Amino acid sequence: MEQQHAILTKALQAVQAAVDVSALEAVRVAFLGKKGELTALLRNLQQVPAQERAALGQAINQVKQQLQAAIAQKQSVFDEAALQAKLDAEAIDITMPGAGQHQGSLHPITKALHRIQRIFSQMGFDVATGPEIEDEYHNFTALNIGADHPARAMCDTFYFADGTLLRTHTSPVQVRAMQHNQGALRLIAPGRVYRSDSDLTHTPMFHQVEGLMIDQQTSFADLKGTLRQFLTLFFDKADLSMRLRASYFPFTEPSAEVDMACVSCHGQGCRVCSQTGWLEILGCGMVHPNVLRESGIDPDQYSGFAFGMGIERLAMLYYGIDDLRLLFENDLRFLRQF
Amino acid sequence: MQFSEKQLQKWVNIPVEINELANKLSLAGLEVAAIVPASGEFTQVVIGQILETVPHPNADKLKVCSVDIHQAAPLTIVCGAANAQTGLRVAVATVGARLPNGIKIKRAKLRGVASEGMLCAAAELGLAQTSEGIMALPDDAPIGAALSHYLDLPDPVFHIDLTPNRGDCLSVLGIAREVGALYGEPVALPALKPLQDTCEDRLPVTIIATQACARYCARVVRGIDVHAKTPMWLQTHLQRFGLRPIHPVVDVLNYTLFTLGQPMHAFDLKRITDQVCVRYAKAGESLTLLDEKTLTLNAQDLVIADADRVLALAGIMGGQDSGVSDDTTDILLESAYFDPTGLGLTARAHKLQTDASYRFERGVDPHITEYALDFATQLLQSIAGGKAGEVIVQSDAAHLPSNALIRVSKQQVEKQLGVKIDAKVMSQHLSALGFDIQADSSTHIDVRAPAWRFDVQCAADVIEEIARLYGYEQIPARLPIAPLQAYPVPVDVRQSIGQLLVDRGYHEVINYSFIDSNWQRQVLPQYEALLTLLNPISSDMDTMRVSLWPGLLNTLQYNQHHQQKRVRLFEIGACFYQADDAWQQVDKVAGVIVGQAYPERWCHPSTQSSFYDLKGDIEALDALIHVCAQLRYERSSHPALHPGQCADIYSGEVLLGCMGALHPSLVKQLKCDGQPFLFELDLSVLENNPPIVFKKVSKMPMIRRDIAFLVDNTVSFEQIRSKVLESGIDLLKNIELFDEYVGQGVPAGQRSLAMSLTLQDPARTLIDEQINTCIDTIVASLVKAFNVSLRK
Repeated sequence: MEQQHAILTKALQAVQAAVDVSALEAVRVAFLGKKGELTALLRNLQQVPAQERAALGQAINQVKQQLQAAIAQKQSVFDEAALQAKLDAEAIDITMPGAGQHQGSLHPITKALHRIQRIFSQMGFDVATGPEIEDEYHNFTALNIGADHPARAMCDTFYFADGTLLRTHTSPVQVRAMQHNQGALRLIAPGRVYRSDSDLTHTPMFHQVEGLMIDQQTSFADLKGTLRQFLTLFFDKADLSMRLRASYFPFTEPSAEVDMACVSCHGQGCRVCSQTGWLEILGCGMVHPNVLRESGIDPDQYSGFAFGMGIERLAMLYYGIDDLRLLFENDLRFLRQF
Repeated sequence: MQFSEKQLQKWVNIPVEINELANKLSLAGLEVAAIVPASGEFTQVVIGQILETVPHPNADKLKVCSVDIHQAAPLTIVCGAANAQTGLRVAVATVGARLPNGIKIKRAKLRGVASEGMLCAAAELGLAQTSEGIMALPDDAPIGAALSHYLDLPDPVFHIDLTPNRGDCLSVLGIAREVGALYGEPVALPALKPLQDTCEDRLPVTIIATQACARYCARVVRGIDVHAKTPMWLQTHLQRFGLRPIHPVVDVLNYTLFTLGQPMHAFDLKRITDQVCVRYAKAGESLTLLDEKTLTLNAQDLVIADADRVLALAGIMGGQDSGVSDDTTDILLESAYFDPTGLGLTARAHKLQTDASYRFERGVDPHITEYALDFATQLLQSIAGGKAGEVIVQSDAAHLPSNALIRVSKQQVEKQLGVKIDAKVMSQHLSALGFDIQADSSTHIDVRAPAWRFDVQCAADVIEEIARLYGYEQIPARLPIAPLQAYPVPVDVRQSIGQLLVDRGYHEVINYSFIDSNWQRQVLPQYEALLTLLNPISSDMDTMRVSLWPGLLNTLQYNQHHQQKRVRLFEIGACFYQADDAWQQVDKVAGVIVGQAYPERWCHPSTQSSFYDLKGDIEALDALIHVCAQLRYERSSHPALHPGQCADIYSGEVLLGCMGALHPSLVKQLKCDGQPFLFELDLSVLENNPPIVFKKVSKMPMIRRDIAFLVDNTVSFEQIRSKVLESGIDLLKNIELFDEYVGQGVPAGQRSLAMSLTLQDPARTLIDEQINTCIDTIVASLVKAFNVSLRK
């Protein structure tokens, strides 16, 4: 009985004293290895009288387990320390920049357009597109713009030798939709349009979104509500103030220009709004009965509203861009900001 | 159109403050662009008369003036103006006066002579943009009176941007009618007194082109005073209209034009032979206009002619030869109604726009012709005397415009506007606008628009008038009620392509769709037919782009000039070219990269972008658009690309576009920093992608074997890959090229390629024997086809 306890005491002291993994392994071999002291005790059991053998064997095994536990515990201390050392060695400067491509950017006009499309899609408006080179019928005649209308002059519209032209608005898309649909519809028509104009506030090519809703009970009040909803969401301004001014377009009657309170000065008057407090934001009106009739829709049965806005203007106001020309310079220092 | 508050007040009572009026006019469709004071702000400027001038003793260009301002003693004022002469009545800023530029006038010594004020120029008082010399006031200007009182100041001037439909508002009378309607104030044409000095003279007038001129009124006025001057009050009016005084006759007609909206013309009677005739020009006839421009006329141009020749381009501009001049004593005054359409065509054909043509094109009240003639005659006589002949009127009632009776359903008004407007209010508004209400029942209203309105032709036009007067702001805003109909889910490939390129470091650009034809020809000489604009805005935007490349290369160059070495750009947009004998508008996506493959950074190798970097981006597009899970690249040639680094890109048999390295000559010409690589793909083909269909995943292990071999440079990887695929090994799941080596140990004209072959059986684990058989078959086929030698 005494012997195994003496070995245990000695072994535990040796475990305690082990300074590294190899020393600990030496302890294990010395006591638990094939030639180890405890192993020897177990081997000697056969010489112990049979009636004592069981008890002694149990006692030695207990000692063995105690020693194994002590060694394992000590081993885990060494493992822990080794891991810690490894982790310490592997620490890096996490403030250094990451690898891979820089993120590119979408053009602000594209971003504004996506925003507009998302809003109108939620309101159940389809998105329609059409050709940029048009004929006079779809660009003018079908829209109640007569042959002698000044808009048809060479000074406003780009023409080709065969009499076709670059569309001056996306309204031809609406004409085609009306002719195809012959009844209720809701759509927006985004796209590039062209007018022979170039100065600080005009570029010969720009982007428009026009919208059209036709139904049996569509009214000017619906137009107002739809536009208010759109502007409120686009500019994310719940208390947006908006006003409609009477205006004139050949394809709508009544017609209106829509102003909203200046986003920059909140209606107080500033450079952005030319001190008026208002920003002219889009044109709209009830579709002229001649336009409906021309597309085969009965104006006594159906009515509709239409509106059109320049995406450049919306993008400039939304992002606070103060110079239209920046949008077409394609300077990376500008583009990277979006 | 511009006019002043006081001018408007002569015609209508303005019951509100002017900013409120401006707001109301703007909301009603007469957009007030600005309200500008008629003069700068000044105080203590009075009318004086120069009694005497003596040269300044110490300065050549200065004069010392003695100026009477009806005070005890005349003032001594030093002045440098050349026109400061004895007897002249002038504007005197007295000591203590404040001028618009903020200057306060003080007693001061100028070169040793004391000066007690300043003689003012019109520009110094903000009465004109520019002026020469000091203001010369008429001889009857009251000495000592405040100048501001004399000039009827202050008097705010309204600038209105009129829409093209409102030609009726191009006069004070027209604006007054609108104001009257908005505020319920009466507006009437005052009755004119009969003319005093009359004569019997007449001139024969005939209208041949009655369709173009349905009414022509004229009158002879003889013996006008050649010394007459335009009085100050009239000059003041003209200034408010933005006009300058020219000649008393012209000034009277301009005043009438801006006041009543009726354009008129005065001929020098001596220059008219026998008669006046309104007719179309004979093709080739010529006319020299008042602005000295000589026109060759067309047969559709309406003219005023005498027995011998053309005198004037009707309603647009008079001829130089027959106009009034400083010695004119006898005149023929013309007041007519010309048809808007024909006149507009003539004005545009000759690129002319005058105050007269601007109004005639938009429609002038055909019933004010004679009134305006009397109005102007009376005014002219009061200024320059003369005896007026009786009015000669030629008129063709059949061709005079007349507004039709329009029936407006009250239910339609409510349906269109979305608000129920009281029937009484509706008819009140229409009456106020001068509409003649012929019937007003419970269901509808029959109205006729007044003669001065050319823009009210159908019920919708009447509804707009009701809405305008009712006020757009009073119409409620409500959301439409409609069936919750959804549209097919949009497959917006261009949005996903754009986003993919953005995620791979590209920046989107937007270039104009028209471009310099010379530059385009240089980049893309293979397109012979270009779609060229008839009227480009400038020569560098004269033709439609056939490709996005010329624009992208310009943008690339612009950015490299602005210190951007590493550039990755893409654009999505329409291109225009001829195919199958028709002009096609094809949406394309294109990109360009130059500079380092990755942003310069401690962790990236600093390698320049290569063909394969760009190809990787296209392969990513390929993977995004599931359709072409395998695009095909074929060696090709393109004038803008390096002949050895150029590929056409196919999906099946359809050519999608092309890619490659920019040709060295263009690299040099654009002074590129680095080698740019470009691609362009046809979007319309990419948009046509079928839905994804799931394929079963095998649970069996995959086996990879690598082979490396030497092969002649003439054999492409694609040939090898195809051959491997053709070898008929069903178990082959993937081929990946993981190395290319040229150099020591590789014979000249050859390269070493290393590929991994991945094998997998859908149902069981592969055993070595099977695998070896597969690899041996593949290698054997490569040896047979290309004589490759396997490297161990």
